[in-house]
Amino acid sequence: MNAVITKVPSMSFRRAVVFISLVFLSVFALFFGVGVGTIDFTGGEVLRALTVDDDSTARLLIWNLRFPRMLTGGLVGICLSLSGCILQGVMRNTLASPSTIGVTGGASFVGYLTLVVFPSLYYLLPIGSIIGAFVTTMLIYALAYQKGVSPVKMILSGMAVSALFGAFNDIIKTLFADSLGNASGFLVGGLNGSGWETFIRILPYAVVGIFTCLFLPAKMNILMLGDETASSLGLRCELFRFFLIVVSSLLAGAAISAAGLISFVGLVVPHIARLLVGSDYKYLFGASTLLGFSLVIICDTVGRVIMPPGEVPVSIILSFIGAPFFLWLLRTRGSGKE
Amino acid sequence: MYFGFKNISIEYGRKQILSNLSLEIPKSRVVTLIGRNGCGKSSLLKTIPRAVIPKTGSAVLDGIELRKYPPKQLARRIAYLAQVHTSPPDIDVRTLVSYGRYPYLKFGGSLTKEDGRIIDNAIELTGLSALREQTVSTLSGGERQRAWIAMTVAQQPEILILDEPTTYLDISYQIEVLELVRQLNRELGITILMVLHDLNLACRYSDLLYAIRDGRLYLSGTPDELMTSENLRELFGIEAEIVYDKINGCPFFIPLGQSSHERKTTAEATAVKTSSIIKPATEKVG
Repeated sequence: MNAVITKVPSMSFRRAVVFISLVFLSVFALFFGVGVGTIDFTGGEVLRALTVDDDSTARLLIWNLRFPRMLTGGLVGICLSLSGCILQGVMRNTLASPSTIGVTGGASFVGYLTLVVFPSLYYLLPIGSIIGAFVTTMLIYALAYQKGVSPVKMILSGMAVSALFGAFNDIIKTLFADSLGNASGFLVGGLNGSGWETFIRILPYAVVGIFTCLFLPAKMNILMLGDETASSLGLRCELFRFFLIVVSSLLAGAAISAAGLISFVGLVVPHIARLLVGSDYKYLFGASTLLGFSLVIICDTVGRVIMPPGEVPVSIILSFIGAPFFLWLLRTRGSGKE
Repeated sequence: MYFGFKNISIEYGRKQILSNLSLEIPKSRVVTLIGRNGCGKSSLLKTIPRAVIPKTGSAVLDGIELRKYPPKQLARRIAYLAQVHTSPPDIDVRTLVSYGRYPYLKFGGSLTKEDGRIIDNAIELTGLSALREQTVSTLSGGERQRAWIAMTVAQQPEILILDEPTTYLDISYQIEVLELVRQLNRELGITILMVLHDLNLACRYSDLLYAIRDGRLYLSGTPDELMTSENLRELFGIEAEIVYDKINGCPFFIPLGQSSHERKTTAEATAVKTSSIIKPATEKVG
């Protein structure tokens, strides 16, 4: 046997190129996001402001405002993308994502409740959102799952659930406007006002979620073969799927508590990643992480500068990109199960 | 008992599919389950990956019920090939085959050199060396089935269970797949348990046939013992002539038509639109 472990050369080469490009894209996005705004800075000035602590305007603007905002945006992008990847695996359906199945609605509803019930304890907001995300996912899963989720059932139940939670959210916003002072990004659905405080609030949850994803690819790949085959290979499918719902809720809840109703990142990013590196979760998670990071930062930056002196929330920019993409997907891959 | 099923009863809703069925699969043999549609043979196999949960009873390995084994340990001994496969559209043959190593992965889950060697052997054994980098969805029906079988080979099982491995395949692919199954049995000593619908192929490739009817093991024996006109009439309600296939050394049947009794019951069954269990309808006839 002179057989040696070899990978498909063209594909692995392609993946390497894709990953290197994505790393460059992420670095570019970060510099772009930090450098561009009401005052533009060059790359050198950005680097200096990030490393040298002085009283310059650059330091103030970059270190205190833009950099933490970009980090928060990037982290939100990563969390939503990974959550989308996982949900697509759980539902065995590529139309699944936090926004399409109503998880964002459910998460923000419980988030609002948390703010109303414990107005002074707004650091509990991520926990509330995570619980909301979890309950909504379980609900959709129970409503629509039969050996993989029927796309129609999933989208319809997602719509109904979103509409319901949207209504609740509006009621809460109207009745309890006073109690909702503290988490502006969460309320507006954007990153405006996100600073170090927001970043640090969601960081622990995000880190746990992202770290957990490192151990998922082998199992995710097996799960994609269908329950019968996966079980016969020794995977406890139901248990694993439950675990995945917990992880995806953790990620989505953390992101939503920082940036509110951000749509479509969790749908668009996993799809683009799939087109770039294939559906092997070993590569899909990595590519989604880098893409999600870059996409949210770039969209947020575009939103900041596109209509000065005003600011377009990142969620709106993302919807402009995401909604047509989603419609295209619905048309071309509407049968859903891959 | 090395491997088999003990006192299995399966119900779908109120419909009893299998009642208290027990059977034993001898080591290193090729055993095929035969029987009519809906007789429960596939359901029986599906209890192994727990796709069907029996009301009573269990499959047994080395005298111990399967559910008492840790899932990965069980997967190292029993491989199961489902009738319908789903896989992501863009994975290549080698990646698919590598999934057969899942039960052996350590925490963290990367393949070792040894895994790589086993995967390559499985690919070679199943004659897929030239196709190892091809996307599974671009393969022909027979090649695709071989790729999935290669995955089970990479599992290095003692027992391979195949649920209608020839469904949707044309006759040349059917032969291709069954030749491969026989080769796995003869070269690697893997015990084979499968469901086949084509009785002539079942005779040709099996050491033993187990016939299921009325929710129980109705008949069992070698193809020579089991293939008689009377048995076929009882099992499938057909009139058939049995001849001996000298080339392959196994019996061979030529269907002549439905038995007269069966024609009536089928007509009745169609009339009342019952699906597979025809017994209640029979009593109404005449």
